[in-house]
Amino acid sequence: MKRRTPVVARLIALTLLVAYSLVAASAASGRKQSATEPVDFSSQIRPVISSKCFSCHGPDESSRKAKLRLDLRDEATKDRKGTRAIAPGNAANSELVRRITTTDPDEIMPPPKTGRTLSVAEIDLLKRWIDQGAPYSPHWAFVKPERAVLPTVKMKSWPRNVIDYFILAKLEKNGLKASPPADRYTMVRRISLDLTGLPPTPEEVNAFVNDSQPNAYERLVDRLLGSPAYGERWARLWLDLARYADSAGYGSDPLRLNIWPWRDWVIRALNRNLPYDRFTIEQIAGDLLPQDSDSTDADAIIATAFHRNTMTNTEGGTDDEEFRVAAVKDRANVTAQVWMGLTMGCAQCHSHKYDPITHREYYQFYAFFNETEDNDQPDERPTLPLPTREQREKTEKLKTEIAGLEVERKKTTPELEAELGEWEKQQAKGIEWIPLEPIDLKSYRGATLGKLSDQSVLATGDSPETDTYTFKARTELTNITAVRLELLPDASLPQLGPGRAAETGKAVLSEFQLALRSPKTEPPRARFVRVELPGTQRILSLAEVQIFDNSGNVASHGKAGQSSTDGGGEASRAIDGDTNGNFDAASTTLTKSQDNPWWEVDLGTDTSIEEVVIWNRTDRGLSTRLTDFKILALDAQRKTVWERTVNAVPSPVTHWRVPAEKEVRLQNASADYSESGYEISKAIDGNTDAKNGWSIGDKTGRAHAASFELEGKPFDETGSLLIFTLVQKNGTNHTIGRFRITASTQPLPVRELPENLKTILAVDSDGRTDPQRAELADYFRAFAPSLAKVNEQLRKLRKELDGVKPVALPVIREVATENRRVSHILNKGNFLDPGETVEPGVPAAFHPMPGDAPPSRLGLAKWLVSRDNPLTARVAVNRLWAQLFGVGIVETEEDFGTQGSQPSHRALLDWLAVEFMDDGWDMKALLKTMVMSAAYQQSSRLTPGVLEKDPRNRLLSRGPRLRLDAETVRDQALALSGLLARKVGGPSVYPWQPDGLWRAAFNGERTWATSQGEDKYRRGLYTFWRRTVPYPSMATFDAPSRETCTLRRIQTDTPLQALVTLNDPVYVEAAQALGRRLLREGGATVADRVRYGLQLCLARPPKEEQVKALVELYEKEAAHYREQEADAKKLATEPLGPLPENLSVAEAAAWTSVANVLLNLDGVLTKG
Amino acid sequence: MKNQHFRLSNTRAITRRQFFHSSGLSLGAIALGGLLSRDGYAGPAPKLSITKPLAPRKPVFAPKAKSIIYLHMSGAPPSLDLFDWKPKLAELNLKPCPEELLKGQRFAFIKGVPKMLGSPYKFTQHGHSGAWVSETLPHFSEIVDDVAIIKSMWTDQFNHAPAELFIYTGSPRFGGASMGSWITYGLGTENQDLPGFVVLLSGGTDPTGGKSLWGSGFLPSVYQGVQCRSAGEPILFANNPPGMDRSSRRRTFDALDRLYEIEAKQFGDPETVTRLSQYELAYRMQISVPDVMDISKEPPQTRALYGAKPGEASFANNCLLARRLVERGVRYVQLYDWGWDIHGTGAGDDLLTQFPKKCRDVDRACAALIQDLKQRGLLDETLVIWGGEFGRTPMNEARGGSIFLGRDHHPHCFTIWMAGGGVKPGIVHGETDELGYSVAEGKVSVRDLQTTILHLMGLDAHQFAYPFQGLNQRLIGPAEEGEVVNGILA
Repeated sequence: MKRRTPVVARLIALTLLVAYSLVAASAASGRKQSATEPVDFSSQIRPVISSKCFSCHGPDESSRKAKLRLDLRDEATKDRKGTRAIAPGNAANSELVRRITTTDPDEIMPPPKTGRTLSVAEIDLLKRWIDQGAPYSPHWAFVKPERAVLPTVKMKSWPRNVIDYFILAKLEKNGLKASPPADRYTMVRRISLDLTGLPPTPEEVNAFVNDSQPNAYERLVDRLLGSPAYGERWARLWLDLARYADSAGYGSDPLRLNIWPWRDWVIRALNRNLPYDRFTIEQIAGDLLPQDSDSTDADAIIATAFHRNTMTNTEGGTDDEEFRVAAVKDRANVTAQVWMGLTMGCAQCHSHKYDPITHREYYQFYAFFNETEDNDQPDERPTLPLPTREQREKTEKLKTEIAGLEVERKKTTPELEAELGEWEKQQAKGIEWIPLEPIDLKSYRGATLGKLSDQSVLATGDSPETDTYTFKARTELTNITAVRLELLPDASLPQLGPGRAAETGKAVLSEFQLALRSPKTEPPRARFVRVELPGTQRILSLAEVQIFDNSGNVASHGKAGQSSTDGGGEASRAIDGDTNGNFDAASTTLTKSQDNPWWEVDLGTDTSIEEVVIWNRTDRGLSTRLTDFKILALDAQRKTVWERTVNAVPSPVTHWRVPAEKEVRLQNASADYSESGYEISKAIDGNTDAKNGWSIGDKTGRAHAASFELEGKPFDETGSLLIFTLVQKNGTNHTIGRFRITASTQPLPVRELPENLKTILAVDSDGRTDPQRAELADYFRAFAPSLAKVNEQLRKLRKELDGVKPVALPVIREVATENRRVSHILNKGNFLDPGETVEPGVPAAFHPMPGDAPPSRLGLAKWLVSRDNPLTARVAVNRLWAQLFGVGIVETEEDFGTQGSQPSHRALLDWLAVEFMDDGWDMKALLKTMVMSAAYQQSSRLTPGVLEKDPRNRLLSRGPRLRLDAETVRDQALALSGLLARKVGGPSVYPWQPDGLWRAAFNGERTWATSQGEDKYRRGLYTFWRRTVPYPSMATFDAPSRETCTLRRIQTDTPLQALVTLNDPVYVEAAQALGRRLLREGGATVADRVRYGLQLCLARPPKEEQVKALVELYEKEAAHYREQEADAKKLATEPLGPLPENLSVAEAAAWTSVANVLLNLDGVLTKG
Repeated sequence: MKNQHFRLSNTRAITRRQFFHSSGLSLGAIALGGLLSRDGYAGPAPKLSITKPLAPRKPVFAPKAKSIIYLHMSGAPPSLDLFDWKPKLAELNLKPCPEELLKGQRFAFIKGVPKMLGSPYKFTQHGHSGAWVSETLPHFSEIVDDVAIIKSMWTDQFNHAPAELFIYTGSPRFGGASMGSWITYGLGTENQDLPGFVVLLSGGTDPTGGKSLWGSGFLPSVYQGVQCRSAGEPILFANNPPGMDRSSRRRTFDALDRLYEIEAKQFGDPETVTRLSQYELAYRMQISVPDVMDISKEPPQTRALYGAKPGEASFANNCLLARRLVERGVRYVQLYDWGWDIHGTGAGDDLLTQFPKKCRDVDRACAALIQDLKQRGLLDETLVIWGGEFGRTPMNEARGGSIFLGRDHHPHCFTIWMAGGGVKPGIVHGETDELGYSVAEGKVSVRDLQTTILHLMGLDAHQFAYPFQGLNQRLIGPAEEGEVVNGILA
């Protein structure tokens, strides 16, 4: 259909769908139906009773009035206490007729309150239908399509393929003729825009226009279908259906930076012409396909991200289950909509009012999708890592090197044997541990720490969820090589401890740290304390900075500043006394994204600083921004008196003692026992997260110990102060109840032997078994002096391997069998109000599941693409048709149910649907069939007769003429100007947009980091798509937000669109580039250049009056800009950049004006 | 002479009918005529002009108001500290919450047994109506006799985004059409040189529901709200490119005019003319929008009345802008002011510092808006609504043991006020129970509010519908809910 019907006409048409089809049907046929002419239930009666009656007398039992349903003939005609709603053959005796014709306001149907009324024509139709016996027939779209017989036509020379017989027959029936074929200029532009979304280049235009070989057009079509741009253009359509976006939606709408590989999958799938059935199965159930070694398995898993485009909600107080259920419903609804054109979502609260889908059936359909692992988590798990080729190669290389070193390490050498023997001797002697006497003990969260006679420390009093202890001891030793932490049982502790966790006595140590202070050290005196975040485009956000002298926190009396402020996050918020790290609590600082941001407090005067404490922000997982930062203390002359480089993220808080105290690095941690996943090495890895640390698991009630070697030789004088910090963040009171710290001066290695090694060593060396020997040697290899280099190399390589972080695409994965969920009917759709349980199943009104289909998503996918499915092929065919012709054969692409509009050419739709299936669901072939038709190749010129008889082109009496869609408007401007970058795929890009649009509440991600280089000029489908803040120029041209699935874009025509293509700097830049292109390529004279510009943009030879209009504009503009040099320079260069040498600024400005007009021509914005 | 019809300067006057006539085409009489003259099956849908989707249209029945200014306090202000005086709650201040109030309730953040929180602010009675108003709103207390205070609002949404979406689109999920879109779809707008539905933001941040709160959903996007900014470029891309002055822009329009004319003749497409008319409107909007958005054109005493200062994105400026917009015939003006989410988790959202600051931000301007509209004789035809998206608990939230005072989200009751356009002035409608926990009398649901607003604009919320995806979509949703609140009608 299509055609440039103005917005409001289309709008009204929508409103009046039903009325329209009735009017059009009778008007178009040009004759009035007589009383005897058979009334067709499907096209004439069902639309009326569906829209006017079914909401109270339809399939939904909960809203049904008077227990009457009119959607089933048996029900409508049955005897009800002597009356019948419909008495077949006898309208006069039908209660329905009486009620729709009565004048009694209490009796009349539909009730006035509903606002629905029946027209005289409709009443007449209903009466005639009843008189004719009230025959029912199933809704046309729910009956499997059959290949229709070709209609006969009079003008036999016109049809070029089957499509044309259907089109022409209808035209002839309505007394219309087809339009003449469009000329070659028109066709090359039309077909290029339709198949690739890009205009043809001047060379392509000339090549086609001058192609005198037969089949020139067909070869053009084949070339375009083979272009990589084809996949990009048609992916655009699929992204709307898939509600694809680069953000997670809902209030905070966090960025989703890992979903784009799915978009690239769509482009690839379309370009390699993946058959539509397979395209369907992989997206719905790619994870359930049998793993086939030579197929593209990862690709099928990637495809499942189709349904990971659902929104996730991380707003405070939300229930994960509520939004998991919302996502599952969305998947069920979108599947029904996209593949079958069914508005199944209506049935989530109650049975569908119009279509045969009960409330129960909805939840059976839902049950197919209710078994996936994802659960509204901020990290979007489960995910599939997708390494790039470079990453894969790097991983391979590292793994090979590691494997090689492992082999190396396994070798037994005499040297190693000797070292082992020596070590065993040492072990036999045992290690002497010297107790350290605590002179100062502190709990940061209010526990009471007391010293016992054996120098151990016992925690009593308050038992906080988490805690940090400091333990200070003075020592005369200068040769300490290792320290040991013993966790000791105590009668006062639950289960004897050594932890304080209620009932279990467990303890988890997050981090163990040691610092050393020289006996003569005074705390440094500083006036400024500063936090620096080195690097490009970083954001600094702090909840609180506390600075302690020997009396208390002095920061709050200072004056804070920072490099920049964003979102109201003033520097002073870090010294407001409030440690709340949630940005919404307005107590957290925030800088803009910038290079090397900093924060600083001026204490007013030099102050002795004992301790610095930094509280990080805590919300939305943004705490990780505060990593690899520096803390500096500066004196009044801004000389650095103390500094720390910190890699670990404060979570939420980290303390640093300041007085010239040296951090002593601990290494080679060992313990007698560690719970799996909580190895002792995690207590010195710098990571203080709750789930990262050393745990003794359930081995409670007895002593445990861990040893730590000191790195280097940190001591240089006697009487040093040792400061141990025991960070305990695990939570739920998993803090240490009793402990002791001792030191050793023995040469390294010093290890705490695991229990099994102790057992082995207890055996005399000759009495050991071979496995025991091997175990011992393996244990020793980790620290054998002769293997130090290899071990170090291995450690480095493993760290590097950990550092390879591929994009992790959210995918669909079925839950493990033991975690399967039970699906319930949800009353009124409420997840808190489950009703009966249901098993996966499809609605009974449709074909059953194929015999080989499992009751899973895979089975559902097979059901969708089964030959018995009445809708899938029709809906797909109709969708592609609508893209080419502007309106579908069924105008309501989103609704093929009884409320949808009637097809304009049902037999054609069915023919195409059957052909599509028979032809192996070949999308390119289907498109080719459509564009090869004479119908598609008609001229789109409107003539008076045509407009009168076929105002909306529903009969295809002319070719399509449509405004380009949002992405194509952009792509074309970039292509015509020569700026377009043709890179396919990759992460979404950030072309220029006005500042300050990303200001959504509840989100720290406020910065649109404008892309540089070619990424500024990529095709529209690569533009970063944030649901709550759509790219403005695209939204203005009717692109949807993608919060929900969009089945078709309703086009509008507004002044705001004109402002975009006239003034948006993206389009101004395109005009500048186009202007320079005209100067460069357009010939010598002004008229030549104008002619070239018109030919380039319209892809047809210009008319002299067009040339004249633009030449005159050019002359006036050039004169104007010669007078206004400064203005000219701006217009010619901002934002594109400096002009090439030898180019006059005034000329370039005038050509920019001309190009600006060219890019706004009706013929440019329109596909004609 | 015949070409004259295509001149840009004339396109405003050209109707589609004239176009067909002048170009030798005649309007398709049957289908199109039928379309134009018939109502939708959904009942009385407005008649729409074909080239001017925003042309003013007559409502179904006589409207009380011609335009709406909706002042939304995003984050949900605490009614118990503004309008809803509860002596009993003051008595129970910082005592544990009675068990029966907690049973089966779900809160966003409250855990365990919270303590009751009496308002720390003094309440006194004002005006002939004797309405109680707290000391935080000294200016509002002077206009109580011009407004109807509704103390008995309730909703079923307790998170910001869904609750805001529910009020403005009729559904807590994304995808619906917003109230301003519905109203401009139904009634068009009086000034064709300005957008019909304007959105103004203050408080530093967008409302939580985001741009969907003024989206057109399934309605054509011509009806979506146009966000205007009170500082900088008032609408996106209104400014000509740097270096291009108005004279140069005019010359490009003249060229476009000639070229569109050639195109229209060549292809006979009426849409070409429609597009040209939109270009012409864009050209006029480049002047009219910045002009209306320039509050420096107001006399100093008027700016002082509002507390407005040119160049700021403040609520006060936006109130003054709202008046300038409705004065020029804009149909619907929506203000969002962010920062009312008074949880008491810290100094930035507590009841003793942040809340009174927010009150100071809006109090003078709200009162000034009512007074100014009244003075100009505009209040009768302008419906002003003030409110948030839900209420706040009578308990202190104390999240994570916070020592700051604040209230959690609370859907069961909250206060809004309405004034002007058909609203009875100087009344208080509805009551809450003695602790301000639920509505005791005169319940008004979100659906009732929507129904009442449409009613005052001359639209029947039950019949005003748009068919989409097999359903007659309505602002009030598919169920038979929503009654006009007769008690507040003048």
